[in-house]
Amino acid sequence: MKSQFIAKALTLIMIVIVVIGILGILISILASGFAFTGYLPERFVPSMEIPITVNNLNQYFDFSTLKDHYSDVELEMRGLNLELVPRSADNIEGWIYLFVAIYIAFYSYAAFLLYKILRSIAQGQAFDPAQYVRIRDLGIAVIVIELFHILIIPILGGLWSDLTNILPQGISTNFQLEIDFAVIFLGMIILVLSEIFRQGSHLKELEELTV
Amino acid sequence: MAIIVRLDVELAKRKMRLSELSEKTGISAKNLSLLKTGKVRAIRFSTLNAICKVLECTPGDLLDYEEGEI
Repeated sequence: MKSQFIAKALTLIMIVIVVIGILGILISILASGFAFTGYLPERFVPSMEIPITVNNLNQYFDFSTLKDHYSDVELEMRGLNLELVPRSADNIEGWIYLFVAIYIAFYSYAAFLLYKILRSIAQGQAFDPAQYVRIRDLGIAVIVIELFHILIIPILGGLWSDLTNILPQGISTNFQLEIDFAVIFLGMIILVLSEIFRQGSHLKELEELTV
Repeated sequence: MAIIVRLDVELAKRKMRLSELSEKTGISAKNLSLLKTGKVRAIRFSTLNAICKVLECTPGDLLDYEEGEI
């Protein structure tokens, strides 16, 4: 009964997360674009270097809505309005949406698998033969999400390179390769867990065939 | 199957039905059916003991061995 309640609560949370994510993307699409996030020093001096994190993909993939248009890029920084017209950044928006769609697809799949796992546990079928396949797929999905994250940063960096060429002097973009080993490690732990469930399923089968 | 279960033979000798054996031993009819058709992977000593007690036979009467893969 308790496990059923926990499973239902977690399922609800996952559904809410996925719905918020989808809504975030829809809002983003409707707002048509995304924004640069950056900051200015306390006293703005035009000649000094202004660090701007243009990519900040984490924001994107944390489903926050961003605002901008490629035909008319705007940097809004503490009341300062900087307008840029990029020469060639035609397909960046499309790429961003594609990546975000792939991201959401993976997250939704992982959430769906987690839901199935929790449901079978709640039904007292933790060692169902199909269970280990679900857990294994979940582990793979977690690793793939992180690998995808690692992969797209340089790709987006390349796509942005055209844009950075026409940025005013002193403004630089930042595409740092971030590898979250903790997530990959988590995926590997899930894979190990799936093997434990596979052996557990085998033992259960053996037990069932013993009279 | 290398191990052959002769439960059906022993039941036939005594003209006993599976349901009757199930009642007397307390083993479910489903499990006895699985045992009779040789679809089990293992037998507990307690199961063997209960069947032998009711049928008044030995485990050797119930089980047989033939050359082959398990």
